[in-house]
Amino acid sequence: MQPVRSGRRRPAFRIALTMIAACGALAHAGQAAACAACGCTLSTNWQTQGINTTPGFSVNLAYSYLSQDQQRYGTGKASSALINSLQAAGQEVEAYTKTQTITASLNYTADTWGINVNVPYLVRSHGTYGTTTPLGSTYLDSSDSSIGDISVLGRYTGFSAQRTAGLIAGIKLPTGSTNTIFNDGTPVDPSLQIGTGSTDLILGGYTSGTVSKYGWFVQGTVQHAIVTKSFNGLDYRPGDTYSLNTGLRAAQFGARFSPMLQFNLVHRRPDGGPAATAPDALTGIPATGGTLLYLAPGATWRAGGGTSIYGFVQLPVYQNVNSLQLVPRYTLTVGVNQAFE
Amino acid sequence: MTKVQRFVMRMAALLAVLLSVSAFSPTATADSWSLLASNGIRYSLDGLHGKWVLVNFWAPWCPPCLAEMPDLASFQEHHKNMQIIGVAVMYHARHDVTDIAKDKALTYPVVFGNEDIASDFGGISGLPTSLLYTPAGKLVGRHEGPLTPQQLEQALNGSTAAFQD
Repeated sequence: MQPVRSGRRRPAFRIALTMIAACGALAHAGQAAACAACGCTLSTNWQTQGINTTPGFSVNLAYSYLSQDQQRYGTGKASSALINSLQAAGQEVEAYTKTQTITASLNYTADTWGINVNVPYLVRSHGTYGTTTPLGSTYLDSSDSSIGDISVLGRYTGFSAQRTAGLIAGIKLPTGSTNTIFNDGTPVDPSLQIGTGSTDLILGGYTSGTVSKYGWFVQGTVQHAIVTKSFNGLDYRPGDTYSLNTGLRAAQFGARFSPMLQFNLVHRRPDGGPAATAPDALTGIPATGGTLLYLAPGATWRAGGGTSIYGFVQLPVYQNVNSLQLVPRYTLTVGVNQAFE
Repeated sequence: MTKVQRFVMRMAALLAVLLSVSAFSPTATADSWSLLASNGIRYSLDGLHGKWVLVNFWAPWCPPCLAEMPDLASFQEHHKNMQIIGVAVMYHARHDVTDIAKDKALTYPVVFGNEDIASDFGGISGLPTSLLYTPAGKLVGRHEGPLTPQQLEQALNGSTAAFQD
């Protein structure tokens, strides 16, 4: 039997997309008040984006669903002929990757600062056709579930009385499992493990305001691995991730039902290190990283007693991946937030 | 089941969850509230029957909110047939609220408000926002922006043009 896996991988944006979903679950911001008579901003609280300005503790539980089952090359759908030629040249062709994430978050907001601790639990399954031609003649799959990479994010918001802007600094810890194996016992690629094995620094900022009767926010973050892990003696460095999220909603403080529209842009640099996915078999370009833009309609329902329930779906607007990668048709996130005063 | 069908099913399930929550959650209205003030006294519309009631939403960082406070405090002092209740929202620490109440020598109770309380009054689009109730407990309407003593005097005399339904 010929080996199914060649070491060439297309990890796509599974990590980046998970991050977007997690960020979404976090950024259900707090209070933007549109001081009607004075032009003050009414609601600066975008909790679903992690921008919480309500003082005190809050907990958040979010579920996200991400199914990557579309073969994409660059900005277009990959044709069967292209997939076959890549595989014939020795490039692995993956079948699907499905990731479900439950993220529990604890938030504390003080006068000018706040902190978020995010603990994800991932359930991930993956299938690959490997490098054996013809396509489908061999198949391997894997399935794993465990706690993922825990992150701790701090915020400083003391730039204005309304706390409409802030800086973000945090760290992602290598707490996720890196031991997932295929059904034949071979290890799954580093990019497909529950955890990246790396310790990452996260830096960013956000600002929010109102225009007429609508509230808006913009949030940007950069994630960079500062300590990496070796896989079977080979270093693996996840590519830097640049995220930009912006959202719009009716600027009403205390609205029971709040529709919201977001755009989520993520650019991820190719992974690095000898354990990373090998380059494109035909062109030699990196086979990881790219740029994705999502339109994300959603809504929040305030149930009373400090409880709010939210959900949104991310629909791809623009996808530009390096080489051949699996991308999702949509992602789904639902969650519940409980504030304590 | 195709992928599209599964997507539609998931969206339908999400919508069903949101709608069912909205259907079974308590529906508070602007005329069924109960507010616990910082002085420990609970105020409700029923308990204030026979008095005009003005619920005034404000924030510590809102200049027009602070500007109208002396007028409201003076009005409260001279009109015992009206009860003004200040509801502070979007504050960052409770002492921000109590410090202002002390500095402005407020003569009416102040509530530590939040989004849920604002929801009970139908939400707020701007600050300050004030809601006026008749002695019979009927909501006259709301006023966005600072109130003048003249507008309040007119309202008590039956001219409630400053308050929109």
